[in-house]
Amino acid sequence: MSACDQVKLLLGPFDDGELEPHEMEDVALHVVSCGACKAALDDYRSLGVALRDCATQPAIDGFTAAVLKRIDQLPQPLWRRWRHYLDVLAEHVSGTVPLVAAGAFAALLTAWLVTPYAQRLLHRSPGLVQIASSNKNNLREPSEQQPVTSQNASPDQSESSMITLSNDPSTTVIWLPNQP
Amino acid sequence: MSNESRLAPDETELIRKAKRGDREAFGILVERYQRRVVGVALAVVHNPDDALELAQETFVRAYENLGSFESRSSFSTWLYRIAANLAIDFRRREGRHSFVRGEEAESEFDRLPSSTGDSFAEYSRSELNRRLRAALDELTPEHRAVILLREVEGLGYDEISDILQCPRGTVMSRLHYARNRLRTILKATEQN
Repeated sequence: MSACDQVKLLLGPFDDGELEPHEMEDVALHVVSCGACKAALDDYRSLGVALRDCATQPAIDGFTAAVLKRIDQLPQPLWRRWRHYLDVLAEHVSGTVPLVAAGAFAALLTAWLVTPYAQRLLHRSPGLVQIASSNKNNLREPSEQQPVTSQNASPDQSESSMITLSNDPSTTVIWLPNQP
Repeated sequence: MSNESRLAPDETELIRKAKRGDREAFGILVERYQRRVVGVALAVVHNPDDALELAQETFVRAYENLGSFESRSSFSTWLYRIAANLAIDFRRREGRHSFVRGEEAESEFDRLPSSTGDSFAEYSRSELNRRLRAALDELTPEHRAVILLREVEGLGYDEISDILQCPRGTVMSRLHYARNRLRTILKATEQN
């Protein structure tokens, strides 16, 4: 195969700029010195111009509308309809969710603040705790060996800090501190 | 280059919305690529009415199969591939349309020089166009598609290879054959 035959295969890609840099250089050097290859290259270029010139693009007015109309006539799969519905819903809801969340939080906080639980926590008096702890020393635990009942309690015992209502283990025992 | 970055900034979002059934988003994509898709179809079938019909069909098919588009290639290449496949199938089904029909016949008649003052240059140009169209009709759909995608649509070899799903070497050889064939036909008609 002669140099011209080899280069002629590359003339099109050369004109299209699709060769490697070293091939571009080789073809360019050959074309400068070869009349036949130069003529072929000119023909390719003229052909390209003529093809672009004769190419007629049909009018595409209303093309998109026609495509969308055909799409509307397609049977929509259920999953796609649901997905679209959920997307639309999410778009509408997405703006209101933070507001609703903030409102709910504010309502919960208000409700909590006005309940007795919050009042007890907020207004807990340290004095009461101190009083309770100071009175703790005044408490006497009843002896198991000598249970004291309200029935057989002596007068001095009745003044004690504790009153046992019953010996019965199932009975509730109330411990009362001495009253000031 | 990552696959995502091949897409235009808002194209990814449009495709995502269209996949979920948003027809307005798909409409924007249609607007964006309609001209090129019609061009690809026209490169193969060489008839404007058929090309428009095939282009519409291309977008409908694309909408139906958006779920299978995974951004491995660009969205435009994916569309053009659908268009080229549909057009090549159509062409094979229909056979060659060597006869002149309908509006084409009217436009052929319009190209004839009128007696009231068409310049010779204009006549020569329209005559060249007529010959060129006839020469293009002589080519196989594959050869015609390659040369029109390259020369008219300005696509690169790699993109043509992607669209027509053939190796780059095949694109180069088809292009070489088509160019030489057209050149020979045109030379012969010039001499006649």
